[in-house]
Amino acid sequence: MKNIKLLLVDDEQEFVETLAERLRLRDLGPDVALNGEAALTIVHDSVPDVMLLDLMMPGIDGWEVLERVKGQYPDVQVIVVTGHGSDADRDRAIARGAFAYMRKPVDFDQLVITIMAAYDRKLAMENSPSQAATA
Amino acid sequence: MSLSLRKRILLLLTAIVLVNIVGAGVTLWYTQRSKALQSGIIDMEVGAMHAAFGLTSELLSQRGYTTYFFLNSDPAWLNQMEIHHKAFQEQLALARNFSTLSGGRDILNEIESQYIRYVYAREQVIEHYKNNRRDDGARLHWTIRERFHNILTLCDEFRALHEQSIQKQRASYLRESAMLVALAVTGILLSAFAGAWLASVLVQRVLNPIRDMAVHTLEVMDPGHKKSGTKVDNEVEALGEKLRTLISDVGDVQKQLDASRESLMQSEKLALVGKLAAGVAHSIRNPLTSVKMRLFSLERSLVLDEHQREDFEVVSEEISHVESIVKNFLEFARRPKLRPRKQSPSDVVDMALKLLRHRLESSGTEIVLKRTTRLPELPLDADQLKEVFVNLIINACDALVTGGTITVTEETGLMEPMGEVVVIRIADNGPGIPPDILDRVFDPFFSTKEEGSGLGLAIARRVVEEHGGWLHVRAGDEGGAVFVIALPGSRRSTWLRS
Repeated sequence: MKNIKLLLVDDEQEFVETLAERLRLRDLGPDVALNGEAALTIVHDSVPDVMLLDLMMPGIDGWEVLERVKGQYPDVQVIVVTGHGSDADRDRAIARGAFAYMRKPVDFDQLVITIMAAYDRKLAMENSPSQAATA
Repeated sequence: MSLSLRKRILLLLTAIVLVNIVGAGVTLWYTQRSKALQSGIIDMEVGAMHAAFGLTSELLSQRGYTTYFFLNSDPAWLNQMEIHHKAFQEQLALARNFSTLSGGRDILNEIESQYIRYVYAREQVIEHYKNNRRDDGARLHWTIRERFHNILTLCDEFRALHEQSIQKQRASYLRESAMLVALAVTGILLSAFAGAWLASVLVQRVLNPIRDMAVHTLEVMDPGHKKSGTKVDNEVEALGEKLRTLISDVGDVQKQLDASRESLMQSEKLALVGKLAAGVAHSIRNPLTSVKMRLFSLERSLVLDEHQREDFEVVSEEISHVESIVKNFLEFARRPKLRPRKQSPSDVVDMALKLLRHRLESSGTEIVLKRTTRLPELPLDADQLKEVFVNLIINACDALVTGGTITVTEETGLMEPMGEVVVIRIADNGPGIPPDILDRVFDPFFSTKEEGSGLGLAIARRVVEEHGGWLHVRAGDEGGAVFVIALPGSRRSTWLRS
């Protein structure tokens, strides 16, 4: 479990850095992208297991990143973390394949548990692709 | 076709080159030959023809003079005749030079001998006329006339011979040029055919496959490009690019493979060690139990002084320690299956705290339980989960060498998509876990304690995971370490570990 490949995507640098710092402490050792373009590049270079994704970003926004990543790498588990989201946004994110939808400020323990759960799901998907398609 | 592609292309190329070289060679040869024909053979023949005409005309020019001389005896006629006689001889020499035909030579020889005889006879005729022997002269004159006609005929023959020869040469020249044209047409057709074949082989067997490869690799490796319809301009370059990416990807995959092989070897080693440990532990346990029993009965029958009692207690304590290590090994190696029963995790926390109260009190550790309501019931194996809590609390207690506070927090949260999740935190305010070993504390046989088996946290994590939950550790907000246990609530999703 310590080998979870994690990618943080958020334009709020302070949030990302704090989170990265705390996660790094646990040796989740996340990659960090401050915008959508950078996120897509990192995803292409080395596909993460789990991705924390902010929706509101300048340029390529979180919705587009979510769509493209799930389109190309359906196994990647995306946890949407957003500061100002409605229930409609939540439904939309889940419908587009996000694993979870969390509102800022996030509880750190909850976030870690969610990441671990997302990773479990990714492993389950890898081990039985047919089941993952229906899950 | 059994020939390899490489051989086929080489063969076709060789064929084209050969056809072209042969064609060029033949053309060159033909040009040279026609040049020779023009400058040599034709010249000679034409010269011979000229000479033949000259012979005839010079001969004819000599005809009348004897008669004219007979008529008026003017020696000027004889002078004229002498000029033409010389001219005839010149022409004859010329004809000899030009005529290379063997038949021609023979005719010329004949002409010469006839002519000499003719001239001799003619001189006799002239001599007769000069001496006024007109009748003798006239008789002889008739005979030389015949001779003259013979020579004329021979001259005509000579000319006809060379005419024929020229005709023959022309005919052979025409034949050759027709052959050459046929050869050239064949060559052009052959090279066009080979060229077309080569082109088709190149396109079908080389260029098309390369294009397909380039397009496919582009699609496979970069599905996004498919939609944008990127045109492949230089297939080879694109392919090379893709190949480079592929090679680097293979390198990455190799690295991952090595890593996973490493971890597999690690697990195999662990499994082996586990089995070994279980075997040893099992063998040790029976004698250990009997030692413990005997010691217990001895304790009741023996009368000991204070010093001896202390020794005795240390011995019993250490035996208990050995026993607990053995038990851990056995548990790790053969985990008993979960026997889940619906129960509140709060009950389990209470059980653990009750069990540990003595120990916590003796080490001066304060325990704070933060609970708003009892946690909801969920299927769990109370015995095993209790061990997890006991383990974690003892760890925390050991970390607090000189006493401190252990805070146990119970919470219920609704966490999409896991649904209801029960979170139990066990936090201490001790020195915390150094970051560099934070991710290794759950590894089997990893221990910082001298007397530890290194299995406590590994077992704890496994029990929690068997419950479908998650166990992790982090640095506390005010120092120390926080162990977080999360158990999925009743609404378990299908994708959770079964």
